[in-house]
Parts: sequence; C-alpha cells; structure tokens
Amino acid sequence: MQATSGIIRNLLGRKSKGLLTVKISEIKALGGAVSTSNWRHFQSSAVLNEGLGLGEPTDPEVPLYDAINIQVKGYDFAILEKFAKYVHNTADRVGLEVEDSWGTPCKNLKVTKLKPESTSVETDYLLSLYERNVQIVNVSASLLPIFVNIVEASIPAGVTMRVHPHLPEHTEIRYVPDLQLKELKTQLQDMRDSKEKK
Amino acid sequence: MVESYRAEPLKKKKRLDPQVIKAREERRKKKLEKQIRKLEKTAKQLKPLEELDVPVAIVDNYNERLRKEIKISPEEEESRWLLQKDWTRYMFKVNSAELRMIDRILASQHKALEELRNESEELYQAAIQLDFSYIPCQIKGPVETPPIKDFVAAEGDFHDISRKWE
Repeated sequence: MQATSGIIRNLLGRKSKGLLTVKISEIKALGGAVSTSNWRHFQSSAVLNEGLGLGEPTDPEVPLYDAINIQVKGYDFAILEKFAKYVHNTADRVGLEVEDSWGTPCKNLKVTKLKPESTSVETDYLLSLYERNVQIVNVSASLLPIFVNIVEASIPAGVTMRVHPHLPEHTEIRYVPDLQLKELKTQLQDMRDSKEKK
Repeated sequence: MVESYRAEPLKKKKRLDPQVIKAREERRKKKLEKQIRKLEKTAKQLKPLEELDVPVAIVDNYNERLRKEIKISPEEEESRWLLQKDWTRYMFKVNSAELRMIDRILASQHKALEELRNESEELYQAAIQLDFSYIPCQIKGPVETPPIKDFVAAEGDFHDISRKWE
C-alpha cells in the first residue's frame, strides 16, 4: 500500500509552471502490467497494486456476491445520466468488475392535481421517470458496503438509488416480448395439459 | 325431433385407431416445438429508449437546424483553451483527492480486519460473511430544503401512461 500510494504522491508532486504533467511512460515502465484500457481513468492504488503484483494480498477466503445491480432512477435525465456515469467510473476506480450497464425504458406518468375536497382535476403534469443500471460482478463482501457509502456520499438531489442482487426479471424487462413465441408456448402447454387430463 | 326428409343419411364415424390419434398428436407437438425452437434462436429485440431517440420532426428539418461554422478570434480561442486547462487541473485535483480517500478507507478497513483476525477468528469470519440484510437497499438523494412546517400536500393521482409491450 505504501509503495504504490507513493506513485500517486509522485504524480501530484510533479508541478511544472502551473501545468500538472503526468508521465504515462513512467507508470508503464513500473510494471508494464497496467494496460492502456486501465489508464482511461485514474484508479486507486488497490487496483494499481493488483496490476503490478505489489501490496498486501487480498484474502481469497472472503466470500463474493454474484451479480449486483445498482439501479438509479430520476425525473431529471441530465443529472441522472451524469450520476450513472459516476457510479460506473467509481466502480472501476475502486477495483470492482463492471459487467454491464444499461438503460431501461422510462415510465411516463400523468400526475393529476385535484381541487381541494373534490374530484375535479385542477392541473395535470406529464413526468417521465428515467432509469439506468450498472451491474457489478464478484464483489467481495467487505468491499460492497464501502462502495455503496462512497456512491451514497455524492448522490445528487432528486435521484433514487437501489442496490439489489440481479434477478432474471431485470433482463426480461429490457426486451420486447415475442407474442408469437408466447402463443406457441401456451398452445404447447394446453396440449400437454389435455394429455395429462386423459 | 324434427327430421329433415331430404338430408343425406349421416355418415358412420370411422373408429380411428388410438395409435393413429397418438401419432397425430405427437406430430403436432413436434411441429410446435420446432417452431418454438426456431423463434427462440432469433435474437430478442431490445426495447427502445425514448430519451435517446431523436424526434422525427427534428430529423426532418435537420438542414434548417444545421448551424454554420463561426469564426473565433485567436485571443478568444486561446482564452477558451486556458479555461479548459484550468478546469482539467481542478478536476484532476478533485479526482485524485477522491482516490486518496478511497485508498485511506480501504487501507483502514484492511487493517481493522487484520486486527480483528488477530483478536478472534470467529468474529473475523462473522464479519466477512455475505450480508443480505444490507442489500437490497434504497437510497434517496438529498433534498433542497428542510421539511416545511404544516405542509398540506395536494391530493392527486399518478397515472402510468407509459407504452405497454404486451
């Protein structure tokens, strides 16, 4: 940990006339194991350690969660997308394996405001609730609460975040249901049922 | 009870061999299964995201909307570049501060777990277990104002009018 947080200290220490120049060649020379894809964004020294084979070894006995979805929902799309991007990036920096990130179609809501003590509509509003998901895989049990806390610390106003294990219905919702397939399946099921009855 | 006098006598129903009936059923079943397998092989279509589709009206008057290139004076361009550099420098500081924070947190957790392990193996094992009371969890973003005193919420309904895909 100390050896490689030194890397970051060195990077920051390099201040030339107002411009902070970071030498990519330096980091690459150190181990050569840091691939170019890792350099897209900075990563914590825990991740750099892994790449270089230094630092304290992580306990292999710590149990891992299978697949966890982080679902963010919000009414303001611009803020929501920025936050989803932030979640993705933070997961990368902390060293978690991001398997997939996708968007689910939005829910269009018609919100009617009723006049006080009557059922007549005063005004109505059209709102859309957008949703984005990030899926992380093989999270160690000790790392997940830290990650959730880090992300929770910078959640913007108006955004709700849910962290839950991945279920098959989460993938089902993304796809257009095939009506033909459904029909055929019900037909087959009916045939089987009638056979059983006989 | 009413008998029609000019009708043909009813045909005698042929007694089908139960095997023939079974064979027909099997054939029908196999056909269905084959069709199902074929349909399942074709890749499913993803639902389109409204927020990412460009409205047709805008695509139609694309040429009208297209802007011509603006010429910027070299001083203006340079000041923009310098501003970009300032922003990059600032964001770098913010991001590296965050990375250092992540490092500190992970290091302290690692140390704490080590100490716990030295204290008692049982507690360490219990601390490491998967916690399914922690997830699923729901976290809401902060609110702009503290709760308003004696606030009376308006009455109303939320109607879901999103496109149904059944």
